[in-house]
Amino acid sequence: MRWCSRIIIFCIVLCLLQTIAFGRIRIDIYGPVLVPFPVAVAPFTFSGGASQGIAMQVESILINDLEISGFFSVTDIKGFPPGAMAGLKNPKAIDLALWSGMPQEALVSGGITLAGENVDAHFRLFDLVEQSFVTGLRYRAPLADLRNMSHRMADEITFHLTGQVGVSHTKIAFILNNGKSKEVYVIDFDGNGITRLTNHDSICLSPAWSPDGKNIAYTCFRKRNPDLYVYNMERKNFRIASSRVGVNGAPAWSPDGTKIALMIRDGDRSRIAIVNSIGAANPLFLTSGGGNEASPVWSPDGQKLAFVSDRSGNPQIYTIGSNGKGLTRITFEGKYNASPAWSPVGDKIAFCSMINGNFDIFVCNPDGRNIQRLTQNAGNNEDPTWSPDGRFIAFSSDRRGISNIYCMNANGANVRRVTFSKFQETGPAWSPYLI
Amino acid sequence: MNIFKRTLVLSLCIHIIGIICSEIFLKNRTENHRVLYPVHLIDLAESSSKPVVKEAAPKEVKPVPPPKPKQEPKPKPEPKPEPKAVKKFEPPEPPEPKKGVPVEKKKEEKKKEEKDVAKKEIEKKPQAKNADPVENDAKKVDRAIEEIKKTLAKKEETERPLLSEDFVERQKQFYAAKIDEKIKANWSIPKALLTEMGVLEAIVILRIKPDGELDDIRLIKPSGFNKFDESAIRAIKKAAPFPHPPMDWKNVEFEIRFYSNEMV
Repeated sequence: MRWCSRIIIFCIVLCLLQTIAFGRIRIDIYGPVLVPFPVAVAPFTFSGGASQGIAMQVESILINDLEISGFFSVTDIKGFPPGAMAGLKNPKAIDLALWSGMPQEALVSGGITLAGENVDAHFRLFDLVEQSFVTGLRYRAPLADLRNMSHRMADEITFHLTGQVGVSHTKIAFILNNGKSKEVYVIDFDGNGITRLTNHDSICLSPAWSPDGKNIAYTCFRKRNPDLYVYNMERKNFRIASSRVGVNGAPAWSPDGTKIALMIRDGDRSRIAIVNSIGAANPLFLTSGGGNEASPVWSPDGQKLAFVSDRSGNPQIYTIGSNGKGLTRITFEGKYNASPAWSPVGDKIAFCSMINGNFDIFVCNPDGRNIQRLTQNAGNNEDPTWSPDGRFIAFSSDRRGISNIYCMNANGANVRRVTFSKFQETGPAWSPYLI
Repeated sequence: MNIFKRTLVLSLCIHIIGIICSEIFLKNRTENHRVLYPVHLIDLAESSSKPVVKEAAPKEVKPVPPPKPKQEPKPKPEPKPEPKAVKKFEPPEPPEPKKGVPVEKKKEEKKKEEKDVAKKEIEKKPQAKNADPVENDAKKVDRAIEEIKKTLAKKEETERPLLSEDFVERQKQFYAAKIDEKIKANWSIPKALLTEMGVLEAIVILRIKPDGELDDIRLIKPSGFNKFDESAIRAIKKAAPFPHPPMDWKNVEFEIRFYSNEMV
């Protein structure tokens, strides 16, 4: 009889639970509208000798950065109530209640002041839904750094509104062939601020950033032998890091910055070796067996490397542990797969593959599965390189006749031209986050 | 003897479970049925609210849009045993004890019965009036009318809670549809934030004041992705203020589930 009463109690509880479920009405809402975050940017103010031109420059760099990020759709403040416009003159007394009911969810205001030789730039970020002040920062830098300041503002705003670290303040290094020589250049991720780094009057190849973003390694024929050079971004000078007779090519910095994987000539073939990033003593050869090897890259955890080998008869992508164990072939389709690039997030490897005589860019998982084609019907697309957040891929493409640097989303959408010179530009390398 | 006893108990239990199951399923079915014919429901609501003078219901009934099928109560979710919810929901229930009507009965049956009884009462009325001239006594007529009024009033009392409960329940459904629509229209998130996030689910408890203003938003189950939760809460804040809740509904509380995928 006891279990009988238990069952009855259970039934009563069941009934009670049912009435509880009825007490609160449940609403299921599926599928948010997938639109960029609407942000309004008010015209930047200028004072203390700063010209309107400078203010407008900062503002336009900022707006462009926010839009390129893919997170935001930026509007100006036309259509806002006049009272709200008046509030902008004195940002401390801004009346956020006047801004509510607008389609924009955030408002950026800012201003520029000249302070001697330096520029003072500040911005304030307001949340129009919560009607609150989110953040505000003031920067001071020489006028030459105006562009960097603006990029930093964009990254700060991106971080506060999306939680993601923006890549506005990153750069892309590449090789520019001016007809007489091939030199290393860097350009801001948005395609502005192109800067020449080297002046070797020689052939430079395959730039690679150090993980701290302060050095760029590259191969140069300046002394006829292809040696490994390291350019220091702060001191603006270079040193020779490896000058073995034969090739010292295709450098790749390990994630901890202590080692460089390098393509070295060993007898009659090229092999991957790991050398100390300061000197180049005692190269450690990773593989044994035949075939040429090239284009090493590290996984973001430093445990593995991907590289190209023709041991199977034609160039294919392989991965191997940084201790030389666990050699795995990951590409099997196509007769020519090259230029691997390991995503900084770690989940993808991009590479280029020849199809019908043209190179196109593909991505796959680090084990070779889930291959996706990102480019097609647009000339040759080569040398993929990931943005530090893994959301974009830069590459070189000759789709307009000569090779230029382009950038696209990691899924192949939104292709955007980055460089606009009339020369051949190849071998892009995206910097890490810069400090 | 023992076997007989055991069999008896077992069959009793099976019956009880059977009744409860059928109760649950029938309840669902009648509710689905109800939401499928919204136009019919509005008519019924207006006519039923007529005798109830105090309640100014019809004002709010008119703009009610027909609820979309997706707002129909899903197969009951795992009930959340939150005692708070019970407390909150009790007030809107009619406080009068239901006289003589077994609670388990289906609502349709109840209504029918009540109407029949009411009809009989109305039939009585002319009878009483016919009796007046025969007796030829004005006081008796008055008394008879008083009595009829009393019985009618009694009827109304028993009738009102039943009909208005049904009516309020329906109004809540309509109101929920409005809330749903308004929040969905205001819910957006950049596509770039959702790539490779899988399906996210966030559950938010929303309380609305009697004037339609936001009372409280509580995130009771985060999705694991902070910005997704934020987008849900922002959607509610952007959607506020809401229409006035239907009458008699003091503590309006919704459990809103936000899903990042499209409805399957």
